[in-house]
Amino acid sequence: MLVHVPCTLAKEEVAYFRGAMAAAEWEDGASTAGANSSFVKKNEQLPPDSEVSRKLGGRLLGALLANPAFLGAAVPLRIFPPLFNRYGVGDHFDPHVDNAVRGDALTGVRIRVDLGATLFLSDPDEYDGGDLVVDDVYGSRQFKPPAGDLVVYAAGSLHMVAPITRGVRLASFIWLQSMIRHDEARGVICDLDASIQDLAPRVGQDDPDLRKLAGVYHNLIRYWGEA
Amino acid sequence: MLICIPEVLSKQKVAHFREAMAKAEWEDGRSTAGSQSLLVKNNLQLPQDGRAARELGDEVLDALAASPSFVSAALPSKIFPPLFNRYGVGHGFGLHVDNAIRGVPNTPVRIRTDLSVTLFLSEPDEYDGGELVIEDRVGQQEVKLSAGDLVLYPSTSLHLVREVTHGERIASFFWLQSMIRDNVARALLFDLDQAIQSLSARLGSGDPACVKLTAVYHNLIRTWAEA
Repeated sequence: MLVHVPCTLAKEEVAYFRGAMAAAEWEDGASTAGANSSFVKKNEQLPPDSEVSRKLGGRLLGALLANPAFLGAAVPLRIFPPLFNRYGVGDHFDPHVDNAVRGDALTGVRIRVDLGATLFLSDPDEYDGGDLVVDDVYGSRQFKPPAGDLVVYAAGSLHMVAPITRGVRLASFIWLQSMIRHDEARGVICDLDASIQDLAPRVGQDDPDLRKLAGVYHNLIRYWGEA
Repeated sequence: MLICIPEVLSKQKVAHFREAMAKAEWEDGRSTAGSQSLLVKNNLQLPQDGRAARELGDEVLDALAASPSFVSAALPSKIFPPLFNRYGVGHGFGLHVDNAIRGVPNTPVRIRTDLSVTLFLSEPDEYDGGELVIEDRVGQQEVKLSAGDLVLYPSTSLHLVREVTHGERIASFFWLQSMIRDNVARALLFDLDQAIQSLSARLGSGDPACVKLTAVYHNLIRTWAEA
């Protein structure tokens, strides 16, 4: 599953995040990497337990949970506290799959990582290189969207951040456990939800066919969902 | 899920069936009964390998294949060659469940009976009693349809045919294995198909939402189907 959700954060909100991050202390990004990806990861992170990381993370979660396109695509059950990273010139993150399970030391939350997501906090003209590249069902896809956009991908698909050759790339990244474990099933649910969202303003919320589709949607979630 | 589908056979077709059945030889209905239903079954049947049953059975199969509602509701994978029965005064079929697996006589084909079907061939005013009664955990559903109509219900249910107290009740009955084993999943697909058919008629089948919903329908079948 690969979904691009534009304008997840408004420009003013992006500016607020950037201001807070500029004043923060950074550490080596290897601190949250698994045994394999520590060799391929070279960037900086806000310390996951720092006040600034937690505060911005909470603010980002609020925006995600108010975004129908994100909710429809991810059907999140538990979201790992968002982390924030910074890639300068020469930094990169080579192809890897994310760890299957993650525990957060601070909150004790443990999740199965079904989906990863990157929220871009730098605009494309601020840096060269730094594309997010994801191997998906139909081949490799590259993303370098405007600041505020979100890209959601299957955590099990190989993905990478290309080396930065100019400027700085700021982003937040998120892992989550979905109520719908299997990628194909979640894709079907995402398409059904998108169709319903598309039809609702055209045929009216109380249309009998729309209500039937809403019933099918909820029954599918009931069928596949883990709560 | 109990689904009634009207006019699977036209009235002329029903008359043709009745005529052919009137000329045929009948046998004790216990010939196809399992050990438990042997005790409660009391009716007559056309011999299942007899010419009348086979010819009429093939006509039933043709009519089923030409009924979009039947195909959508049942999503059949294998259909047992239809059988034909006759309940005169004093005949009935006590409470029983259908065998889980049925072999088609003289062939290596075996069918898991997911759905049971009764196709009514007598009009309701031709007989008293003879209702098909399907039990669930909260009560009973009674079914007595016009000649040419059929009822489709999960074979897992306990069901009976009430004793006929006047006239004669003639019907065809058979079982089928669905491509979609699970009743919940099959019901959901039926609802989805109905909504798509209705929306396509209103918005045009080329409407983007209809196209996407059609993809959802086929992808769900791909996820669940045994072909």
